[in-house]
Amino acid sequence: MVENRPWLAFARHAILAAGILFICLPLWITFVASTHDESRMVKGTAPLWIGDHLVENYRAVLLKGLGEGANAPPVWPMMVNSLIVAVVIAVGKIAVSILSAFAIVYFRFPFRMGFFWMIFVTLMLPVEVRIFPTFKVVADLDMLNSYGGLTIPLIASATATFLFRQFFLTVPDELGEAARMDGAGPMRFFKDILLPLSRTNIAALFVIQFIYGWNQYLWPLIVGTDEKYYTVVMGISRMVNAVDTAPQWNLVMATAMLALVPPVLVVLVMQQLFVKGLVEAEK
Amino acid sequence: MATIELRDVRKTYPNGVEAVKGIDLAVADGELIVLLGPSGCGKSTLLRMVAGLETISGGEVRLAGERINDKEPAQRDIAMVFQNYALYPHMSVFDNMAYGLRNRRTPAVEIERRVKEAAETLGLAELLKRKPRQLSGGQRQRVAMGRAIVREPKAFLFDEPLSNLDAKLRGQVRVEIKRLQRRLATTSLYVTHDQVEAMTLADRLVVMNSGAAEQVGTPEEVYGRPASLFVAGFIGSPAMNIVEGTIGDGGDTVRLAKGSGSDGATSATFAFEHTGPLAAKRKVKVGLRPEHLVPDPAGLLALTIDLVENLGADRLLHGHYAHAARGDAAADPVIVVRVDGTARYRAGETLRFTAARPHVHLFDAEGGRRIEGA
Amino acid sequence: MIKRATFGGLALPYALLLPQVVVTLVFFFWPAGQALLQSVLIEDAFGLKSSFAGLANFESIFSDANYLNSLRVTFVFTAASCSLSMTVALLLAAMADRIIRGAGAYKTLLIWPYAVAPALAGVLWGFMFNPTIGVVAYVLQALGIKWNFYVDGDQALFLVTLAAAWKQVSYNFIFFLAGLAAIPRSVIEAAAIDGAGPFKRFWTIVFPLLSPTTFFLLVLNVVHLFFDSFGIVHALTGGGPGGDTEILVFKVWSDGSRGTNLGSSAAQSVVLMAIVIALTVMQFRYIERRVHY
Repeated sequence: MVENRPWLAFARHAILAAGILFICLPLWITFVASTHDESRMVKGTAPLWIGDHLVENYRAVLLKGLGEGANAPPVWPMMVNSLIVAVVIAVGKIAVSILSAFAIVYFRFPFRMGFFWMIFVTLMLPVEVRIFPTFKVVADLDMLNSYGGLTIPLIASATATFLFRQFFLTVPDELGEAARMDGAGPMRFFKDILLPLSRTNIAALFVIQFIYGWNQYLWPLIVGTDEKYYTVVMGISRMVNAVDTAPQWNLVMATAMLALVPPVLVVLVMQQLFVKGLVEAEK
Repeated sequence: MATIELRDVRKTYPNGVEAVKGIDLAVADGELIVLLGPSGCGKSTLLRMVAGLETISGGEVRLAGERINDKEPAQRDIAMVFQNYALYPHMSVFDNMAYGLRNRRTPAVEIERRVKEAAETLGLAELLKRKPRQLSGGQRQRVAMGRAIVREPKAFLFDEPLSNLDAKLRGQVRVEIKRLQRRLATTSLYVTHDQVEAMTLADRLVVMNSGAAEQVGTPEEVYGRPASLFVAGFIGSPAMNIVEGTIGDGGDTVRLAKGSGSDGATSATFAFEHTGPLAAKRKVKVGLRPEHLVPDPAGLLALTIDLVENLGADRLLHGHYAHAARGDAAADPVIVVRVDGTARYRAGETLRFTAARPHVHLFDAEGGRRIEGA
Repeated sequence: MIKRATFGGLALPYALLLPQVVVTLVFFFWPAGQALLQSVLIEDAFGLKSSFAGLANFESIFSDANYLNSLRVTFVFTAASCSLSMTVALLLAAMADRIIRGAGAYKTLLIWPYAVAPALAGVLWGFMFNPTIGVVAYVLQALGIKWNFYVDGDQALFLVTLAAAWKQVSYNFIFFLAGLAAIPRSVIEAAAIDGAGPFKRFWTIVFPLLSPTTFFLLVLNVVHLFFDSFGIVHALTGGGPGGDTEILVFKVWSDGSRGTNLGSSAAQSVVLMAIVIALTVMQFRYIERRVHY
């Protein structure tokens, strides 16, 4: 702000503080709830301050889930699944898109623009819009209840391809020409020159796609019907909507914390990269 | 009467950096003062303090006699022309110029009159409906000035307005600014790092360095009697030659290093203007402008030419003391001389030069202040 | 834009494109085609034979009270969530924009919800507002409001809207902050010198210059709210009570997983597809026109 008035500075910080309260309160409540024992959760309202059952709760939930009969398996294996899915999707998307972008930008071939538009169209077809037919295809290919089924249908990404294409267009032509004069073929050029230059874009995209993959909900819900393939995010819903008993909130909240901590950590650690990637990708 | 007074104005940033270290200045009504200096010398900071865009850490700023330290920019009745014009991109030229007046609730009829008049003066009458992105750099510059003019403020503040223009345009607009300011007779503060702009526009100059004012004076004073080595080196192009010297036994001449004279043992000796004798054998720095070294077969300074630059109307001769012991930089400085373009000197030639008394400047060997009386 | 330096060869580019093309064809176009096809077919009572039915499926869904209800719910949900999250985000971004000290900390504390899955957001908010043990529910009840979103449809919609807005704020905040940073400081200063106070400056200078960002976010928010909020609804209310939070995408899933009327479910998917396409096209058109100034 240009002016000097102190009340303006105070108002700014006050409003921001209120905003932070709004944003962070749910996290706080959840965390607090995950640290109490069951009896505390049953009476009155949820606690506002940290309890002393942190370790027990988390250990129980990671290893045993909600206990027998509650249709909620141990969380640790689910987290492993989530990790696998997130990493495979992120790496897969990046690999597939960077190669496609490379082909579209640096080569001339028939139907080049046709392929480009084909990829573009997929921007308008999020999975929710074509769930059941896609499910049918996956089932027909016998990919249900497999890591492949959980990840491959989500790997072709228009946004990633566009991001790389846009980036490659800004790489000076001279680099490609110099490489050719130096006797480098296309793949060598790609590996030795383009790839290192794309490092920040790749890192930023990785963050975004990792989160996307980790947070997948609807797709794992219908494709991973076997407990063995549950991911932690879709596993939560089964806990919350436990039909017979009242949900054991302390354990449910512990699971929720476990489900959201990894992606949040990734965002916090890679904040700069993440913000840059987000703003670039959506342009 | 829109005078501007700066009394011991200071600016210190929260991290301890002192950007402006106590500036005193009295600007008369209608005067155009130029703040000149290299990047980071504090000139823009000073201007922005007058504008109200930076807080004032110490001292006082008065406009038309009234203290304005604590006033918001909007209330100071000043107008500013920014380096990158800062036009409102989403408004037409007319609206850009009218914005300030509308904020002050000037009646629409009056706004229209003033904007049209300013547009006429600046040659913008045909462009009033256009948006900034449809204008050239020079046109945008004029809109920025128009925005300042219509406000009829007590003072104009210019923040390096010509830096973003190409060289040719710069020359034209510079002249337009001078004419305009004379006509409107509005007190103006103008910041620039370009000494040509400064010399041509200023009624008086403030030469700044590292937050302090090295000299305040008219262009003639700053050129003819620079107050310090910094000012001497900053004004004038090519820069003044600065060499080592020693005051002679009589206290009224100065001798340059050995080898500057007609043979290896003699030194060139110059007389200088003085109000009283100086201490003999005192070490000083001597300043001689390239344009003031005059070829003279009887001159006491002998230079061997290394390189000739042909500028057309002039030539620049780069040379060194003809008989200097080579390898000792202090005794063997590079000297630049400007001569007429018709002269046909060549590299390798040795020539002799003199300099008139008023053109010999002496500076203290420590600190660089001008030695008065010289 | 064409690159000047290109490589020759045909086999290589096709090979490079192959993975993406294959996945796209098999998992995007084929199913989308299936959905389109199914939407114009009607199955007979035993699910044995399908016959071409033209737009009959579409007509029937648009005259179905449940579907129309879902349209209404989606509209309300989207409008409310969008305006709430964009207003809050703009306010916070405007406040955070010129703060020098602590800017990094504020940003970090405000953008992390982006990483939270919508379903989890639903769980978190559901917990806070849970009629039996929720902290906020407690406060509401103390204020005399009979709070039970499991039973009251309006309250359920309110909660879902709030949870969705909460998640969107961080995303919008990032973009608004970037948009504000792109406005040259000198333009703001010029306005200040021209006599505009902070509020006036915001409305006459900053907000108009922010309009491309605002429009862009509007479209993006709507797309997210249409699709990503599946998780919120599923985890929080299951579409209930009684369909009061059944947004369109949820209905597609719930009707489809019951499997009774494939044609209708497909038709619903197609309608959604059409909406997305319309929005994306609008987005691109607008950007083409307004991108330089």
